[in-house]
Parts: sequence; C-alpha cells; structure tokens
Amino acid sequence: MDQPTGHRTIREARQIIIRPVTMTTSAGTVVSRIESILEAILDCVAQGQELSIDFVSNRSGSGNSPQTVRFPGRTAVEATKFARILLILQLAHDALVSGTVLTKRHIFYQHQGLFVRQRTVDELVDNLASALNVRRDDLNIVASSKGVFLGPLSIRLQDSTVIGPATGEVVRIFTRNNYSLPFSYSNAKGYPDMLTCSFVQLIRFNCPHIPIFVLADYDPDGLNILRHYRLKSEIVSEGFTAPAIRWLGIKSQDLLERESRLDMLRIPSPDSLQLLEGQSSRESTGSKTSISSTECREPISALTTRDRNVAVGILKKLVDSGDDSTAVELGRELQVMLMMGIKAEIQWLDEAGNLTEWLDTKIGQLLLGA
Amino acid sequence: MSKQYLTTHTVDDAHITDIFSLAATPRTLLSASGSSTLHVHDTTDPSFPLRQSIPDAHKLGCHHVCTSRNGLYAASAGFGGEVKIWELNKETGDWSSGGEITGPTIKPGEVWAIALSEDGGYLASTTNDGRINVWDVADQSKAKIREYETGSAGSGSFGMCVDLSRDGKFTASGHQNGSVYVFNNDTGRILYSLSGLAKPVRAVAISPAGTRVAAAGDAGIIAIYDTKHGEHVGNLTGHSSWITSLDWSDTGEYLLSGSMDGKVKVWSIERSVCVATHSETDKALWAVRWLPKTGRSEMFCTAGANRSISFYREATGS
Repeated sequence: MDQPTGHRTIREARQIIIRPVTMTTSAGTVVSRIESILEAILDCVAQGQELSIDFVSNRSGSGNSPQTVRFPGRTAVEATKFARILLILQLAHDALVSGTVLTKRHIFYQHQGLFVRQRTVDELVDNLASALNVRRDDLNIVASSKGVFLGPLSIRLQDSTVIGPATGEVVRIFTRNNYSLPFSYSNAKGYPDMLTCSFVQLIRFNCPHIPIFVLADYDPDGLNILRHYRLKSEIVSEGFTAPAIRWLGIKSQDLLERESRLDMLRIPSPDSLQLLEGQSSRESTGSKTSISSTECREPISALTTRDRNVAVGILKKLVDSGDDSTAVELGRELQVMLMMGIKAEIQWLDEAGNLTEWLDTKIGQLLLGA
Repeated sequence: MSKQYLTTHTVDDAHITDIFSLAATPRTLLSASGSSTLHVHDTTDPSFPLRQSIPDAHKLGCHHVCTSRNGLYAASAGFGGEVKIWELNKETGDWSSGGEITGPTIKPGEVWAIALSEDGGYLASTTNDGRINVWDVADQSKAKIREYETGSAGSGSFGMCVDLSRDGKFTASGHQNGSVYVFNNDTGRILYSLSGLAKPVRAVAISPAGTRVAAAGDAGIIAIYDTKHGEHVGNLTGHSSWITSLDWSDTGEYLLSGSMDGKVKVWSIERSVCVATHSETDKALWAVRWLPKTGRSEMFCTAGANRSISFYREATGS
C-alpha cells in the first residue's frame, strides 16, 4: 500500500540509531550517550529535518529487527511513541545528572496520560536500556520499589551474608536469592508480598521498640494494603504483645483540611477551569507541563468505576470481619472516600505542601499521642 | 437584612458513624449514616427523640435517604448498591419495608443519588456512568420507566446528585465533571445542559414552583438557573469550601446550603445574598434540610461527620 505522498516531500531525512555499543556502566558515559542523542534530535528539529530513531534492541524476546520511530510521526501512535522515548531519555538524563533514582512506577504515575499503562513504561525502559547496552539500573531507573528498606539496619541472612546498613543507598532486600521462603507473590499494585509481610513481622517481634507506621495512597487499593498489614498481621500475632502497625495517612481528614478549602487553593481563571475528570482533559494538561519536569501532576483524581467497585468489595470484607477498631476506621474512610468521590496519591502531600514536614508532624503526633 | 437562627437542640451522636443524608417529612426526620441502621427522629417534640430505628437496612451503610413530599414514602440507597423503599403506616406512624429495587436492570454500584416524586410514585437515581434512571416504585414490579443518557452511551460522568420537581415535570442531575442536566419527564428528553460550575456538582435542587434549579459543589458557588429557558440567572458566593447539600425553603424564598467546613448558610433568593451563617462544628456537613413548616417558625437541621444532628429555629423578631 502506498503511503500518502504528502509526507514524502521532506527534504533530507536523518537517522539516529540507538544501537548497542560497548558495554558501559559509568554514569558519565550514559549521560553523554543520552546527550548526544538529544543533541541530534535538537539539530534535526532546528534544521527542519525529519528524524527517525532506530532501536536496535538485542533482547532475545523482541528479535533483532530494528523499530523505527520517526518525527514528525506518520501516525498518532508514532508521535506518541516518540514523545514517550524522548521523555524517558530526558528523565533518565535528569536522574543521572542529579544522582537521583526514579522508579518505573513513578514515571508512569507522573505521566499517566502519556503512557496509559504501566506496562508501556516497563517495556520502553527495558528496550532503551537494552538499546543503549546498559542495565536498566544504569539509567537510574529501577523497578517499583517494593520491599525496599533504608536506614541503619543490618539483616543477617540464613547463609550468614549481611545486607545493610542502608544509610545512604537503597538496598533492595528481595533481589537476593538466599533469603528464600517457600513462596512469594507480588503484584504491581503495591500489595505486600509474603516476604515484605514477614520482614515487617520480624521487626515487630524482634524490635518492639521500633514503631511501625504505614503511609498509603488514599485510594481503595491503598486502604486495602493497610488492611493487609494491619488485619492480617493481627491474626498471626494473637497471644503476643507486639506494637501495633499504625496508620499515618493519607486519611480523608488530611484531604479535607487542604483540598476542600477554597481559600487555600490557587483559584484558576474561569476560562481555565477544566474538569478533573477523564483522559482528554488529563492529556491536555499533560501537554502543558514541561517535558523535563519530574514534578507531580494530578495527584488528586476522581474515583473510577473500578475504584468504587473495589471500595465496596473491601467494605464487605470489613463488615464481615466484625467490630475490630481497624475495620471500623477503615470502613469509615472508605465510605467518606466514596462520598467525596476522589482519591489522592502520596505525592499529593508534596504538591499540597511538603511531605517531609507533613511526616514529621504526623509521626510526632502519633508518637506523643501513644 | 440578616435573619437570626438559633440552635434549638443538638442530638449528639445520633449515629455511631458519619451521617451522610437527611430527609424530612411533616412530623419526622430520617437520618442515614455509615452504619447499617436508619433512624427516624420525631420533629414534633422539642427534644427530637428517636422515634424508630430500622436495623439492618443497609449492611454496608447508607449514603442517601429521601422522602416523598407527601411524607408517606421514603427511599434509601446503600453502599452495597441496594435501594430500599419504605412506607409510612398512617395509623401507627411507623415505617416499614415497601420493597427493594431489584432484578436484572439494577447492578451493584449502579445507584448513587436518589430522589422521590411528590407522591412517592417515582424514584430517580443516578449511576456511575452518568445515566439517570426513573423507576415506577408504586408498582409492584418497580420497573425502570426512563433512562436518560448524559454524554455518549455508558461514558457519562458520575452522577453525584439528582432532584425531581414537585410537579414531576423535571428531573435535574449534577455530575462529577461539573455538568448539570435538566430533563423533561414528559418527553423523556434532555431539556438543558447547563454549564458554569466546571467542578464536581454535589447538590442540585429544583425550587418548589419548578422555576429555578440551584446547583453547587466543589466550585464553592451556588449557580441558579431558570427552567424556562435554561438561563444562568445568578450565582450565590460566600462558601469557602466544597458545598455538599442544598435545600429550598417551602416558599422558595430561601435556599439552605451546607459545606465541608461545617458551615450552613441561608440565602435570600430575591436579593441574592447570604442572610445567615452558622456552624456547630468544623467537620464536614453532608446534609442540610429545612423541616416542613408546621406552624411556629421556620426550622432547619444539619448533620455530617460529627455524627450529631443540629436543629435550628428562626428567632422571632420580638
């Protein structure tokens, strides 16, 4: 089939090929690789040339056929893909330069409109890393940080190896095979897997002087995660006295205090009043944010039908679990969430103020109140 | 000129959890909360005693309760998605079950806000995907007789609130995306799509004469529209938090509004001004309602996150 000829009249096309070079791991090398790609892209744009990026991926799964992504894109799909690649390159660059670490989950949630699915981010990051012939970690992009601990704590494993103390760097404990339990499950939703649960239990019973707090998103899954930690661990601990796992937030009250008060909001002009809801408005706000921005956006959104169904499902379980005070509190929070019709991610605390300050205040209150 | 209202009584801890909804009849006030029990308070007695308690009405709690204007029917919607009809026994003054809306036309989570017609014959309800359904609840089968779509099929915005006009001519609905719709019940069509709030609309109320629609929500503004031409005729501004509840006084002269910061306001429609502001709490108010005038002075009540119901009475001049 012939392509529409209108697009063929582009003067001089230029190709940027991202292909494996020598195996490199130094951050500086990765940064300069990315910069040269970005520079080439800028040159093309400045000169009005069409440009195309070829991925030469050496992942076994994807075969060796290069994927070509052109700019300007021939189709909306191609344009979107180009934007995604550029964004990930930019984010990886920023992370490497600033010495920070991004999670794939974070990238997705900051740019839901662009990526639509978490899977898209996962695949692109893996492909890019593979194309650049580096490990994903070398881009300072890691998998969702499940089962991460940080702090002056060492864990001695059964084979006598020691992990930690993790005072400066983040140590992912569950990537070591040695610390094995018969089975573990995990899913991308952030529900605690068996290892995480047993780790928390370990601390509860062996270090009862360490208070344990949970900070979770204010959405049905966030509250369900809390339910897992609190209610499930209670069953195990029957007969023991271990400190309770306490809930820091986000609670409806936190949201109400900051969000429903109109005098605390930056009130946009009537023309710019756009709806919170729906993909289309999400995308339009997305296009306005700077591409290099890692700032949070839309940390508050309307509950979806799925959210509402999940919330009702949890409510049912809570009612069946009786008059436990945790169940009562969680049930109340779920009901209020349904009434308000909104959910908030942890990042919202940063948007609405300052997460660190908030944590200091809340932990202080809980410790003093206890 | 402002009006004076006094708190005449507060029923402390009227429910064990947040009170989400109130509905009045000439002699009683029904309250619904996060617990499974509905309460009926006697509003003819100055201490507003609990007249009846309806246990296990909604296992997962109840988010909306409404009554028919004639005071003979009530309906309640629970978090589990169930909708129950209640009938008043005129002899004993007790409420008893009048059935439930069930069957294949109702799916869990499909019903959110509800409103009953004046005679209790019809129930309007909103859905997750923005539809408005009207049910013939007087009939044994409780069949769905109307289904209004807002937006393309199945993809409308969450219906947060609904009201029926007293004469049964209009249905009005408010949505998460800020839309307000008015439907003509005779033709079964959308009459107006009203814009202006742009933020979630948590309350709509049609005036007693059916000439005005008031809508309010997270914009903190009460927008007033006329039902004749669908024109935006004014805004009432002054709340500094999300507005959760609206109610017209019996004569249509005053509008009552409640908000998330615990404030309740009375507005003069004629002068477009707030004539009274009160608060017993800084916690969210989920419901504010006038009590039907039964002699003496005007009364209204408020309830919400502090689990209490406060009753207010207009202070007489002398």
